[in-house]
Amino acid sequence: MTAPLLAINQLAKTFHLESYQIHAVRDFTVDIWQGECLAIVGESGSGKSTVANMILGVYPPTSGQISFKGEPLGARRTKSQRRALQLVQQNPFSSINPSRRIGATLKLPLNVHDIGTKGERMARVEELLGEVGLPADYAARAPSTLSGGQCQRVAIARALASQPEMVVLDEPTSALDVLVQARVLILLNELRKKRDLTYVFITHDLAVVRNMADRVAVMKDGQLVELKPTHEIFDNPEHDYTRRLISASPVITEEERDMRNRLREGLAMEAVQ
Amino acid sequence: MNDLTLEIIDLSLSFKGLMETTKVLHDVSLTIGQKEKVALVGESGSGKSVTARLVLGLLQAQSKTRVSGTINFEGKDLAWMTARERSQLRGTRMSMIFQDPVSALNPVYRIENQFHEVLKRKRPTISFDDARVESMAILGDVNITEPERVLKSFPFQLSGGMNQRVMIAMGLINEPTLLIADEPGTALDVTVQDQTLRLMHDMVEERGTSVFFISHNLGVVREFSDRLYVIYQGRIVEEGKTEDVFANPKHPYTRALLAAVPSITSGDTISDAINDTSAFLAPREVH
Repeated sequence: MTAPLLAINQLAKTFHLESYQIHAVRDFTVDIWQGECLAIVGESGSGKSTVANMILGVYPPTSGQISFKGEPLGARRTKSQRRALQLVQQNPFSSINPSRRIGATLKLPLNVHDIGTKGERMARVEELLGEVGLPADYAARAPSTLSGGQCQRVAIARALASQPEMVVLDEPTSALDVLVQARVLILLNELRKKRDLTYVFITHDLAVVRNMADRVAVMKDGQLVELKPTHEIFDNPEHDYTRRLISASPVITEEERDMRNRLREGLAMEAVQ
Repeated sequence: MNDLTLEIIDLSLSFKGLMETTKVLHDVSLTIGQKEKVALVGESGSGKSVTARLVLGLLQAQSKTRVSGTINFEGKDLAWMTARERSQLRGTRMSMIFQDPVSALNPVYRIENQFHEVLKRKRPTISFDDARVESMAILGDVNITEPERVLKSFPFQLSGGMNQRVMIAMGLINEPTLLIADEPGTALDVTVQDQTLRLMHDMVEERGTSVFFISHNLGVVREFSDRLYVIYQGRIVEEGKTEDVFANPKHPYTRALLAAVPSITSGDTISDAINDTSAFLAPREVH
């Protein structure tokens, strides 16, 4: 039995405000395996982004431990750990430096992590652009000339530049239109296969989860309420909260409507009892 | 003479730039009957929000816009009204709910003052206390359990879902005949969005308000509207009853839109068909 790529053990985070405390995450335990896509779902305020931030080392956990490839991740990460764990954020317009050209944005991680020789780096930037489906001459453009979907592709290219092993995707498509979202999701799936990446996919859109994830972790009020393979969580959601989340998703087809109505009936029955 | 609440005939709009004029709407025609809920669906940049702003009469006054075509509201042509008459319609006969409730409400006034403002548009002499009584009643209708506290609050002290409900209440308090909803709830969580949409649905059914619903989310449209129009690059490409369009989408763009939505019942359903954009400008399909 091999060790998980990332082991999260009894993770907790408490924020101290002036007069009271917020338990943002409580007793969160999950193992993430090489090559899988784990989705973390929940409403806003359920603690899913806090978990992401702790995985990335934005702030340390109050208690509990995260280990990467068997080694515990400290409050201060080593350079190779930072290289291996990358992030794609929700809003591409605010996560990309507006005053840097796309090429410079993509070159920065190459410089920081000393990947390739200096002369090779510009060619690498063009390769990266090609990989996310953008023409090579976009390197000379400013972010303001790109559409939302194109910007998100740049953000993905930047995360891939440092050759990570794991990418944390924090609502990567919720700011995008359906058609653009579909194209970005297809791209993410292709890249995962090609580079053997591991994804932590944070979202509240369960339809996206169904199409992307291998396993789903449902969070509510900072706690893990259900963790199961994707098809099981949709076919047989155990927790009430999971059922509520699934039944709240807007539906398109008759099949989906039937499923939602079944879930809603179940919830109503339980409320009566 | 007809009894349509809103009738748009061959509406075109272009923005004049420094060098060239950009045409953003091409002969858009649509109708909304009394008590009808009609959706306009399209991606960002397709022209759906400018259509709403034209109906409100907010764009006509700008010097850089060129508008042609007719917008009839309750049988009267908006173009023949004075700016003042148009302004009197807003907030009384027609009202609007915006995408992001937190930024649509004024952050420096308490909710009660903002309700008073809205009520004054219809009845300029209404007193603050009378306005409060009416606001309390309508906040009850949108399932707000502590109207006292909400009225005393500033928008930033309330959650997103709460603010959205306040917006709905404000939109409906003057009993408008037409409610324009521009992507309501897209800024909210799925569960909260689901709640507010159902609430809005019940409220307009009860009051017999016509709704012009603007969205890019097909699932939401299916839940909410009676009829829908699909808009692509400023052209209406498909129209029909909601069930008919979803059961049998005819236009390539509508099909691509439907194919792009990830399915919740089965994985791996996003197809590559969405990348073929050549057929998206095919002529309009009517059900």
